[in-house]
Amino acid sequence: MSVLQVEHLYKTYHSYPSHIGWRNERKAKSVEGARFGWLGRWFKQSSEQTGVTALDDISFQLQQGECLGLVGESGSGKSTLARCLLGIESADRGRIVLAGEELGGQSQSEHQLRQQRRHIQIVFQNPTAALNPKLTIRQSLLDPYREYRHQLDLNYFRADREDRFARQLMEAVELPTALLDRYPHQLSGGQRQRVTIARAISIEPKLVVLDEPTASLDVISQAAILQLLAQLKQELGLSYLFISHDLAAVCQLSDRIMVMKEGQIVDRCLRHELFEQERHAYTQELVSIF
Amino acid sequence: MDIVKKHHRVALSMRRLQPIVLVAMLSVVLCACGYAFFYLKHDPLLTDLGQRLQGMSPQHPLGTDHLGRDTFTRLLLGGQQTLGYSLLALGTALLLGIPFGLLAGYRRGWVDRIFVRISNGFLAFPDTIVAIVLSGLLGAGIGNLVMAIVIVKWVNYARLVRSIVLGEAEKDYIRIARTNGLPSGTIMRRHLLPHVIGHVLVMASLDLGKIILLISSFSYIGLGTQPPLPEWGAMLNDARPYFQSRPELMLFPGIAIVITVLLANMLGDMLRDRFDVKKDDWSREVPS
Repeated sequence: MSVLQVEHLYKTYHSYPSHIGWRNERKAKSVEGARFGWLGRWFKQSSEQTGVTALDDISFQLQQGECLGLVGESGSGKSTLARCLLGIESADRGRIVLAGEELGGQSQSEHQLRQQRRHIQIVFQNPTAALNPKLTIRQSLLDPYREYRHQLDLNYFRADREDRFARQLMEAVELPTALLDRYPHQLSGGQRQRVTIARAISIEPKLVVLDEPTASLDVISQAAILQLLAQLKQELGLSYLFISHDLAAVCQLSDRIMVMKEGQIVDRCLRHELFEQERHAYTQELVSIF
Repeated sequence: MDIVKKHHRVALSMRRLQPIVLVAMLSVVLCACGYAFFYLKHDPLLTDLGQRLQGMSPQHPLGTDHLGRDTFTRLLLGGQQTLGYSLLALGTALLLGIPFGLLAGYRRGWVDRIFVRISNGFLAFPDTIVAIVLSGLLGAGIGNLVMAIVIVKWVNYARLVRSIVLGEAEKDYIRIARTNGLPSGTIMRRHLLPHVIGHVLVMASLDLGKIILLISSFSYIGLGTQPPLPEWGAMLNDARPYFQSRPELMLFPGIAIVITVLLANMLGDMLRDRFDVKKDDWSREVPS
């Protein structure tokens, strides 16, 4: 069964300043015409031409229980894709179908949108920024759970009591439960990333987007986190979209790998095919550097 | 090494003791003023010209004023007025400022634009001038003075809150909360308010001192509490003509103002330490 289906996704960044956020994004588009007014139809014309194409006809599928690796250099559009999937930004054109329902469809109500968002969770690169420094680990962990409490259908965790649920989560990511009442600054980087992973899996989403989850960690923590992710995928039947520029990490975890360059997917292959001779020239270049 | 350790331990016990002493002193002031009506034997408004300008005596522990009213009683009732109205003004300013700042900083858009215009307008004038003009326009009286103070002060809180929220709203944890479908209200309450509340309370307790002074000085020039109700500033004003013969009549309300303002400022320092999660952590440990 396909968890995620992306069809012909396009996204262009225009040269006008726009704040990141799905609300402002839409506004910026409507402002574009109004701002220049009668004075400069020319400017409008030229601003469309100077846009940067971040996503250029992206299509792929992601199956249940699969880990799809997405590699590419900085600025290739990997993170833009992740943000579009999460609804932090909206794409210009194209369809995203998550767990059988189209994301951001015209007829979607706020309620349906929130319903859908519970199927997707993200782990960011920097765990320090991803945890509210003023909240205890327990509060951060229970944040998504408290929001979706009444719609959850958990198979792996038992969520009858908050305290027990939090303990289970900590055990799932192999952290001592004594850390629950600490603040993020009292934990190490690896521990913090484990907490963000625990938070992401807490509501048992269909898909977890891993946006360079190991990039800010030391080598030993990296290996431990990758191992943990593989184990959780097995136990909970999760699907991952693993975004990274670290080929070693991607190879270790992914079943399939896509290579992105300048907003396009230039190559796709199974894990073991990555080092073969008939790969795309850019893939071979990446492999040779690695 | 031992000396350092010992010094640290003494400093630490002082740090722990300070809040207790502070809270005790503050509650003495508040209780004394709050319960003034219930246990005092003199009517603070009753004039008795036969008893005017008396010195300290068993009947009148702090003497009487120019109309023969008991100074101690009036001091307590005055405190009730000063502190009560200061807290009222401060509380209202907070209730207005915090939600507005959160909204402006988090939602941006037109709410923010309107807010920035208003607050820039207010910034152009000094607080005191605006308060004088407003209470001049609205008429003398403590109600109008409180309103004027609220109008002047709420913008400061909203600005402070807005600037903190602007910095936090772009961070990953807010993004994650948003993708988790948390409604804006919940994000503001659960994620942003804890960042804001410490700063706001520190500023509020420093402001409490300023507002006490403002109410007292407005009453001193006759724009605040109206006679015959006592107020520390108004009492200072009443005692002015008799400064040569009875200086203590000015001294007592003055000391009351100084002590209360000092306590409010110390409360601010204490709250700052309390709400700083990281610093709190550090102060609990003794280096070994």
